[in-house]
Order: sequence, then structure tokens, then C-alpha cells
Amino acid sequence: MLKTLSLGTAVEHTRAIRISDRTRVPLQTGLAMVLAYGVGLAMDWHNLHWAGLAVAVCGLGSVGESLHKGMQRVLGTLVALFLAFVVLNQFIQDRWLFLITLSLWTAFCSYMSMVSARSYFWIVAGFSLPLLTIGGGGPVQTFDVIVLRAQQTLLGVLSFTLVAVLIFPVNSGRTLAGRTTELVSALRDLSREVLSMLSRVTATNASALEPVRLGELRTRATQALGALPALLAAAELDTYRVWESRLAWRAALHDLAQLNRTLERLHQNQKELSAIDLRGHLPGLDTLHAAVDARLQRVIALLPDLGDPEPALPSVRVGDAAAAKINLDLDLQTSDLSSFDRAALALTRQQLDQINRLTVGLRADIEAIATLSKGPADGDEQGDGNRPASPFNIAVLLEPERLRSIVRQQSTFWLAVLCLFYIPDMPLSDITIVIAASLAMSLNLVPQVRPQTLIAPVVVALLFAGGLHLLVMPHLEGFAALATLLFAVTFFISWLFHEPAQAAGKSIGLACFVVVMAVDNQQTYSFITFANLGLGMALTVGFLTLTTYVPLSFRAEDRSIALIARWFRSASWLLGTLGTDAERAEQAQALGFRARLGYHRRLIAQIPQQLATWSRMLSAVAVGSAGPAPMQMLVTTLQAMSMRIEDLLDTRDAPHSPAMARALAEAVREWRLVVRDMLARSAVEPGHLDAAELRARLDGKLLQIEGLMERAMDEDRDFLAHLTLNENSYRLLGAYRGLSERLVGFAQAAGEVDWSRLREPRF
Amino acid sequence: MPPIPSEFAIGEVYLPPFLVVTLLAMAAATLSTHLLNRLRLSRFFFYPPLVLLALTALYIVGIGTWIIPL
Repeated sequence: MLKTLSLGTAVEHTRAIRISDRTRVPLQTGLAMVLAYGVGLAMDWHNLHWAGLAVAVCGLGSVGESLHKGMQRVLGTLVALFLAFVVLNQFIQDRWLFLITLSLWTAFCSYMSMVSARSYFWIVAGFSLPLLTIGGGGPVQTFDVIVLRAQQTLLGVLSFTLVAVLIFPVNSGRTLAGRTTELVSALRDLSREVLSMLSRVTATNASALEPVRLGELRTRATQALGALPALLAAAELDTYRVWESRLAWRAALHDLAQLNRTLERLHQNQKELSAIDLRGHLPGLDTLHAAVDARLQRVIALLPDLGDPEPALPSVRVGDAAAAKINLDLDLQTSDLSSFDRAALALTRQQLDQINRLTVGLRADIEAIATLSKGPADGDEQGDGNRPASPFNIAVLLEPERLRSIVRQQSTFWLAVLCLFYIPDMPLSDITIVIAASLAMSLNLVPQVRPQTLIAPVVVALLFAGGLHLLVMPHLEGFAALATLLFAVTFFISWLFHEPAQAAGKSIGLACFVVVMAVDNQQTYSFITFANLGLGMALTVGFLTLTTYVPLSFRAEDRSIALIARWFRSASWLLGTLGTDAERAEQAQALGFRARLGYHRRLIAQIPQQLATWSRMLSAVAVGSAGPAPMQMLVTTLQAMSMRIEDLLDTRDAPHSPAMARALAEAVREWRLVVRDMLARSAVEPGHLDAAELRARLDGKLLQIEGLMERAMDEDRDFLAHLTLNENSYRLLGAYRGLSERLVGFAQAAGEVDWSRLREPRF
Repeated sequence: MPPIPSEFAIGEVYLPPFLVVTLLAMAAATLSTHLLNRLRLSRFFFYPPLVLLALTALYIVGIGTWIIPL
């Protein structure tokens, strides 16, 4: 591969013609299609559309991305190939056992495709088993079919890779560096906004903040973060420098994700900090602001060259002008702040410290990448280096939303099987089962997409390909004419659907084209084959449409309500775990408890993201006259509450001041149980909370705790003894207050949602 | 005497009558549910997805009995 890479690099450096991506990728795909068909016809192989499908699916923006996807396709096929022999050997005589085995394998692969970073590998492995075992035209020919499939897939992937390396090659390294630069720029803007806000937040000017601008920045950062892991995997394959510094790259991406998250949490503090002069109490704030900005600017300056195969080594100044300490010796006890202001300050200071550490680490990682030296993360596994591992952390295996998707995938599979067996009038073939399995697995990755939307593109693509097959192909003479048609159509479809968001349209168009054309050395033209394929596809989409509603509903209204209820159940359960130290020590020993804790923590972190996607799909009828705004506000408040609960759980693990625990234990426990009950009730009836009443209760609770603190300070001589322990306790108080404030925000947003309209049964 | 079931010929493609009836029934059921949604009558059903299935079955029986004999 290294030889191939260096050849590609050489060609890239000698190229004189500049070409846009919109033209380059279709050109490469068209040429690869011609090459694959040319080789396949010369070898007299049948089922050439498998090679064409491999070209269609793997033709992406850069050599690395195409190679990465191609490798997943080849490996997935090889795994299914091995299993096909095993399954045929064991179960070929028993129809139902055979089908149950296929069903279980597709269910497993479908689940793995939803949790793995290499989802395409699992999808290919999943649908290839039915394809090889029942789509091959009978068990006698199965061995030949399996070998042919492996050959054709490899041919398609190799054809595209060869073309992509030799003709207008583009490395993923540059794209990776470009997208990372965009992300760092977004985070720099975000940090400027958030830190400036903190500097100027007071009760009088809090309303002058710019939520729209912040929202845009957050969206930019989140989108860029989502795309980077796949780009890094691709760049590791085609850019040697990225491969050499892959550990530093991974560490940098981890730091960027953490930085985004910490900035988000910091932003959530502004309400609690509204009465505090932050500059006065955190004298290092401005210096930190300048240092963070300078570090990110340095990173942005270094990044653009890092994706080049052989960049000029930049002059890297080793070390970093550290920011001034953020008042690490802040005297929380004697300052003139109220207890809750100290709590908010303690929480904020911890987050500022984390931002400081993360930006130092990020800059060091990027400098290590620039100089190809050993970075701070080399030889070290990812993780929060300074944070001790909680005894409660445990991996989560099964997630309910994904299990629901498996139910839909399996329903589609069995519906196709049973219709094929028991309704002879349905024009279904064994290949319909394969298409049903494959489409359902792909749809599971984007469960909010309605299958009906596939009908129009599939019909158009089939009619277009059918017209070419029946009207144009019979007039072609020789390979030159066929190659011209293949190139022209592939180029046209790829050019038309050039945007990443149009990838599904491109895949459908090219897949229908190569399947319907059915190119072979002994070419036949059959209208009935085309008509049956069209009807089979239409019925498959019909099955998917049906299983979107039965047995489990995938309507946006149903999913939104269910996700909100699940979030509140998990949040309520999590608050119930924050008992005394003795109770928690006992809980930490139980594996089942730790598994449940991990499960609920994961749910509250994931549900707001899922809910944001589902809530965007709500119809105008479902949201009623209030429009989509209250629902979006509600999702934002849930996200904020998730962060506060995370803070709460993290802070609870730290050692706390015994004196503060003595003074406040009972009041805090009472507070926690009240909030827990409210959360539990909101799971059933999210609109029941009254924001005004909640605000009054919260203010009363804050006053009660203030009073208890003052009394303890006067009466308990140990109260001021342990600064660090006291600070942990203040952070815990800050997290409780933050959660309660967000709950008030939720009550306001929930009050504006038309719940009866949303819950109304609808088709 | 009831009409004899026969295949549908579209060009030279022969379609079984059951397929045509099913497709027409699905289209009619979808149209009906759209209408029920629009008029907010769907709120009177306990589980609309099952009603959709039932409507499809009813349309299949109706079309298969009176319009395209199966």
C-alpha cells in the first residue's frame, strides 16, 4: 500500500490541472465503472452489477475515504462468505432453522451497525449472508456465486482505488486538516463568546446576550465533531504523516470534543453567576481568556499544513505561555459572597481550569503532529488523565432505541419472507428478501426518515435505467459504445447528486442503473425482469412503510413523547442513587447496579440529541398553533439538565466536607427527593409543573440552605477547616441549584407545548 | 354469473389481480387516513396503525368483490 500511496503522492504533486470536486469525483467514478466492467467482461464474469455496485458505493471524495469504505465492503463480504458456507452446511435441509439463522445474523449485524464506528462493515456483513445463501439461484450454484461475489466486490473496490490514486488524486489528510481548522475556529469563536459573557454577566446586562449567534456556533462545532472520526480513519489510510501521528490526532480530537462540552457547560452557568462580579473574584479570568485565544489561534495557524503528504516543517515554539492561575487559592469562606454564589463560582472555576488544561493539551498535540514528535498522548490511552475512574463506570451493551430499530428490521425481513412463501400472487423473488434486509438495516441508521420518501427516487431511477436498458442498449455495438454509455450515465448521476447530503440519491441512482442494465457478455433484454424488479422494489418499500407503524411506531410524535418520558425516568432514577456515602459504597459493589447506572447515564446524555432530531420531524398538525419553537426550547432545557445531572454525579464522587455534610445533609436530602419526585411525575405528565410555583419553592429552599450555612459557620469550628473539601461541597450545591434552575426552565417551556395535540392518536 | 378473474395486462406485463387490488387498497387506505388526520377524526381511534391495516383489508375485500373480482 505504501508504494501505491507514494505513487499517488507523486502524481498529485506533478499535476497541473485544477479541477473542482463536483467534476473530479464523477469523473473518477465514471472511469472506475468503465474499468470494472471492462475487466469483468474480459474475464467473462457474470453478475457484473456487483462490481458496479462496489464502485457506486465506494466512490467518495478522496482516496482514503474510498479505500476505507471499500475495505469495509470487502471485509464484510468476506465474513459473510465464511458464514455462508457454515450456514449452508448446517441448515440447508431445514427451511425454518435456516431462515431463523439468517434472521438472527441480520439482527446482530444491524445492532452492531448502529453502535460501531464501522457501521458499513456490519451492514454489508448482514445483508451479504442472505444474498449469498438465498439470492444465488439455488444451493447447487452457491459456491460459484460466493466466489463470484468476492471477485466482483474486490474488482469494484480496486478499480475505484486505482483510478482515484492515478487521476486527480486527493488525500483525506487535507480534508481532515481543513475540517479540523473549521472546528477549532468555531470553538475559538465559542470560547470568545462564552468567556466574554462570563466577564460581563451581571443582572443588568444578562439580557444583552446573543443566543442566536451562540446557537449557530454550537451547531457548527457539533457538526464538525461528528464528521472528524471517519475523516481521521480515512486519512490514516492515505496520508502517511497522519498515520505516523495518529495517536496525537486522536488525542487532539478527544481534547476538542471535551473542550466543546466544557464550553457548553460553562455557558450554562450564566444564570447562576448573574449576581457575581467574576473579574473581581477570579482575577486570572482575562489572562485565561487571552491565553486560550492565543493557543487556539496557534493551533489554527499550524493546522492547514498538517494534511499535506510532505509539508514544510513549521517552526514550532516549544512550550506555552501559561495563563495566570485562576485564583486557585480563592477564599470561598471569607469572601462576601452568598453560599450559592460561592457554589456557582466553585463550579465555574473548575470548568475554567479544565478549559485551561484542554487547550494546553490540544496545542501540544498539534505541535507534536506538526513536528512528527512524540505527543503527550502517545503511549497513553484516551481518557481524562486527571480524573480518577469512578467505581460506578461500566460499559452499556443494549439500548432501547436501537432494539426498537431491530424490531422494525426483523418485521420487514419476516414480512418479505412470509409474503414470498404464502402469497403466490405477489411478484416477489428471493432477491426481495435481500433488498428488504439491506434497506431496513440502512434505514436503522436514520430511523427518523420515512420510507415513503424513497418511493419517488426509486421510481425515477428505475424508469431511467429501464429506458436505457430497453431502448438504448440494444443499439450499442462493441465495448467502446457500452463504455461511453456507462461513463456518461455514471458521470451524470454522480455530478447531479454531488453534495454529501445527496449521497442516498446517488447510491439509489447508480445502484438501479447497474442492476437494471444487467450487462453481460451474452446480453439479454427482458422487460419482464425489469418490471418484476420494479414491483419487488415497490413492495419492499411498502413493507418498510408498514413496519414503520406496526408493530412499533416510528412516528415523530410517538418517539418524542416516549423519549421525554424515558429521559425523566432515567433522571429520576439517577437522583435516587445519590444517597449517603455508606449507601453508595454498598451500591458500588453490585455489578447489576453499576450496569443500570451506566445505562441511565448514557440515556440522559443521548436522549436530548435523539429528541432534537425527532422533534425536527414533527408535523405542523402535531405541534399545533404553538409551532415548533416550544418543543425546541424544551429539548434545549433537557440538554442543560443532562449536563447538570452529569455534574451532580461527578461531583458526588469527590470527597466532601464532613462539617458541611453535618449541617446540610438533611436539607439537601429533602431537596433531592422533592426534585426526584418531580422528575418521576414529569415522566408521566411532562406539562404538570407550574413554573411560578417551582420558582417560589426553589427560592425558599435556597434561603433555607443559606440560613443553615450561616448557622453552621457560627457554631461549627470545623466548618472552615478543609478548603478543598468545602469546595467540593460547594460544587455539589451548585450542581443541585443548577438542576433546579433548569427544571424551572423546563416547566416554562413545557407549559407552552400543546401536549394534548401532541398525544392525539394519528395515522 | 360472477365475472371470471383474469390477469391485468399493461403492455406485455401481466399482473395478478390480487396485486392490483392490494395496491389500490393500500392507496385508498392511505388516502382515507390522510383525510381522517386532516379532519382530526383519527383521535377517536385507540391505535391508528391497526386501523390502517384494517382499512387496507376492508378495501381489499371491497375492491376484490365489487370492482376487480378475485
